Amino acid sequence: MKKTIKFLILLLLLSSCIKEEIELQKVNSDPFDPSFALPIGNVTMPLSRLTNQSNRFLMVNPTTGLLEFVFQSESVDLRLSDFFNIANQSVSSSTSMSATEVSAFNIVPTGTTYSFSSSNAEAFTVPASEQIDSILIKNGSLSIQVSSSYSHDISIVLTIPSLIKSGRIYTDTIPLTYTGTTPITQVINLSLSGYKIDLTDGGTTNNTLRFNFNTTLTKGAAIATTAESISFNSGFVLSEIDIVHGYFGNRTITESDTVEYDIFKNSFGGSVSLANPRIELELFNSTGVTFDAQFTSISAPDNTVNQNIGGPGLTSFPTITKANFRGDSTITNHTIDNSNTSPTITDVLNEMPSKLAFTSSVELNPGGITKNFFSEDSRLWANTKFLVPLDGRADGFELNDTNSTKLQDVLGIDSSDADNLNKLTLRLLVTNGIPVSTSIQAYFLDDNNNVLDSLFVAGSQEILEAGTVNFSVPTSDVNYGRVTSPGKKTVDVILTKEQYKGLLANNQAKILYSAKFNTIENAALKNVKFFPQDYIDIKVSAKVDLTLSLN
Amino acid sequence: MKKILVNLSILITCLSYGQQDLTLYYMENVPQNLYLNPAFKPKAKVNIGLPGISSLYFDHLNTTFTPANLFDTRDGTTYLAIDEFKTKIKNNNYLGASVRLDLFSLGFQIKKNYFSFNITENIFTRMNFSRGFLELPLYGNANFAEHNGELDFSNTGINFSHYREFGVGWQRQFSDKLSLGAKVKFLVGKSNVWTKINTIQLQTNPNNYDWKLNGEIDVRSSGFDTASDINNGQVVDYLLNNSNLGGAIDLGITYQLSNKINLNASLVDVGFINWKSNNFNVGSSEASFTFTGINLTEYVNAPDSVSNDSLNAAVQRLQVAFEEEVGYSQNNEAYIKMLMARIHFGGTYQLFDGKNSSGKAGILFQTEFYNQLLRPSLTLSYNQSVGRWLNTSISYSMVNGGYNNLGLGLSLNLGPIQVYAITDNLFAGNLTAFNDNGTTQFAYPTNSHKTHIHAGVNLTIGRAKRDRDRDGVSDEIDTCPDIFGLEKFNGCPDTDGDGIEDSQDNCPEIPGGVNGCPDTELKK
Repeated sequence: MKKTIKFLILLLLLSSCIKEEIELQKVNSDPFDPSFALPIGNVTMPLSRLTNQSNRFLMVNPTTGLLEFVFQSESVDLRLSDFFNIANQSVSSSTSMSATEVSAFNIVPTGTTYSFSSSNAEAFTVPASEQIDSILIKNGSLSIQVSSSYSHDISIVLTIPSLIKSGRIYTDTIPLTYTGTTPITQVINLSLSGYKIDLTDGGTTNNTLRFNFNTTLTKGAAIATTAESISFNSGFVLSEIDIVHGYFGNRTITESDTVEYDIFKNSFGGSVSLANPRIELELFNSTGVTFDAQFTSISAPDNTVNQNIGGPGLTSFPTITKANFRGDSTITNHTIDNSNTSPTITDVLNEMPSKLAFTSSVELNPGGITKNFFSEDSRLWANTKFLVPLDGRADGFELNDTNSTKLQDVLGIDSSDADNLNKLTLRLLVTNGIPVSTSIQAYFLDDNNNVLDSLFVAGSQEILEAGTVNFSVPTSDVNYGRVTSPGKKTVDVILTKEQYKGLLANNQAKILYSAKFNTIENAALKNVKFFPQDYIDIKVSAKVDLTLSLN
Repeated sequence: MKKILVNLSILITCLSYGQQDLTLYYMENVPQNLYLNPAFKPKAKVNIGLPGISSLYFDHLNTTFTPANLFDTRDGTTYLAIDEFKTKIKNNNYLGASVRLDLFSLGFQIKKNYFSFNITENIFTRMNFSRGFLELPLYGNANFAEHNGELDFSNTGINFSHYREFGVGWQRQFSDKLSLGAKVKFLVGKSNVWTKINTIQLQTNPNNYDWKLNGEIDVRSSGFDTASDINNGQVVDYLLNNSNLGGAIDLGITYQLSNKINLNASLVDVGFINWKSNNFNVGSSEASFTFTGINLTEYVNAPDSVSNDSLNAAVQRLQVAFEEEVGYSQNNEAYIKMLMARIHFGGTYQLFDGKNSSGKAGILFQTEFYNQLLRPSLTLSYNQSVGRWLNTSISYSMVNGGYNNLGLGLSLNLGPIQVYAITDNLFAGNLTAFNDNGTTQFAYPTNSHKTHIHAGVNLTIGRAKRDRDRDGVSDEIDTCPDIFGLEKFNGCPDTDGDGIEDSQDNCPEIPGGVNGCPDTELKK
């Protein structure tokens, strides 16, 4: 009995001891290597969804169905002020008694009134060889300074038949009171808003202002002489002109413009040949002037071989007809393409210019003297479309771009986390429905643009395998050069722990992307075509190989 | 005999995951063994379980690892042995714990009937982690050389229940051989989480890393809105919630085959709870869904000002497609959850029955129903009483895939006060302490996959005196203490039933009126 109890007690004691102690802070572990993989996402990019920008958009040619880049700009924008700029001007006139009138005046009793009249035609100065019939003023003023040397009270009725508002000729009575000294002066100010200046002098001429004076003197004590007169100095300020009628002469105006194109932005090498680019011009004319226009030059100043586009396409513009009335306009179209240029547009574009400089000239009234009008809202302008169909070939065409991207920010893995990273694999499954194969390379740079590492070890790696293209039909067939079945490729982009930690240690701050494009069978000079239905589908999945431990 | 041994060895190899009070089962002095077989008759006529301390039960289960096989020491440094852990992972890995606390219990005998009442709080947790679930952080889903990109998460889930049991039991000795018992239990559920179905498998495509999910899942929960009341200090509201009702029944039988051999069997916890309060159920139909990533086309092409909206929209579309494809549904419907029923079947053999002590060997097969499987265990025990004050039991169990479960039970009767403590796994007391800067945070059994302890204090009144031959006449006054007899003959037998005690009967096996013999004999 006692032995039994002792045995049981011993058993209890032996069984209920804490025999092991483990300090949690000091536990290490064997490393283990889990690998995790997941699909991230996919993007399908039909070419029709290439983004438009402010000065360039992508459209589908309704005839060929091809995609075309369209660069649109306004060139040759000419307005009234480009053709007719009337300076503020002064017109002087005067009136006086003839000798007979003086004699007759001198014998009349004091206090008696004596009248005489005169009419003067004065010249209206124009800037060039214009023959102006009328000017409708929107905003302006007229200041007439009257000065009399007669020693008598005077009342002058001034009538300017050239100045008409709402059908009424301007007329005013100007009193001049003799107070013992001469000259007697008076200033008349008139707002010209709404006035029409008729420079035809009753339809007989142009550029002419008519002044009519009817002067009444009240005889004073002094004796009049033929040396005495009344002068009128008119100062015209034409702030805003509404419309001008007349003939604006035959002269030429030159315009220059440079337009930048981003097709070849960031290009770095290789060659490109684009079939059938063209320049389409729409010339809008809402003036009452007929024009002849041409490009005196279209050049790519950065090119070395073919700088200038030449040929009759630049000069053989149709005449730009005038508008018949205010509010009317005409449209004149002209196309410049490879068929009317030499060197051709393609020749110039093959050197991948980033801009084109346009110099144009515009000739007024090429047909001689005719009636013109030019209003404040009428203009001559050209809508220029530079169309580049996606039809051509590329051989090693390389685009580079650099942007400030820190890999650590993108992946969210810092240096301590990177200790657990064995390898990161991005698997790209690419379905390529465009007729271009693409190889890429990425260089990791520091802030000073020193190359730290590259994504692929030996040069670029092809990630887009070109689709199969139909070259079996005639080249004139719209489907010649069209993709018939997509190419598929699986590419693993691998980043190892050593690579990644090296980039972090060297303060990687930028990535330089380099992409090289080759159209299929470009060596055989075969062109390929891009349609809006063509697409690229990229599926991205990731696999992370880790080494973890508690150490 | 050979056939018995073969069948036994087959059974042993199938043993796994049985549990619960294996040592207590044959401790006749402890009235709590009624919970295991309602046909057992307690020794005392009245048993009162002191509130809150009469029955405290705790068990813990971890079928996969222990500190002994998870950690090792090399060159003075403790290592988490990952490679070793990998070898321990099974297709199904269980981790769980259970707590039962008697709030009150009472039992009393009236003539040949014994009635019992109990109010018991039950908390049961068992989590199952499939091989795929445990291997995922260790291997990942892309270790194609190891598992070909296939991970099986089926059966991963949780089974948690908190309920209160109100039990009414009845036991009756129908004859000197046969005893029957039953208990009806009224159950009030507090909270439940149940993974009813999980057949989810994940396949990762080695070419494009797409994920393919196959299978079906169905998870039910109940009572957690009120459970959150606990966080808000409103414990009473949670404990008094009585919306989830159920019932269960226990049945038991014992049969005295001979003086020395007793056979017994019981079926306990056959019942259910209808969970309907604050339910939240989520599930899917049997479906397959392939995740190929998010369609980023719209996001990539959107202007910067709305790109985030486009990405959100893409994610939402993916979510909608996923829910439609898998038939995702959520509802708050009521559901019925069965309890984990157990079967006990065994027997005892009286090795000796002396004046002051007795010894009995026992064998017990226990099987529980869990996850639609039978999970048996086998226990061999030796139970010894010393007088009326000490009852001990030593057991050896093959359970949970472990063969080192040595159990010990002690009950001390100090007058009416009975103190008992029982464990099915003595060596679970061999603990490993996990320290943080020298301060022990928690301790865990070093070598054992199962921990069990059951202890308490009862008031026992009117414990039966020793009666070796169980004839109802205590040994103190039994003239024939080793032979089943009649009370009127002071415990001695009257084999022929002629009213004359055998010791006085000339013809003890033939009924007769003359000195125990019939008239016919005299005439001869």
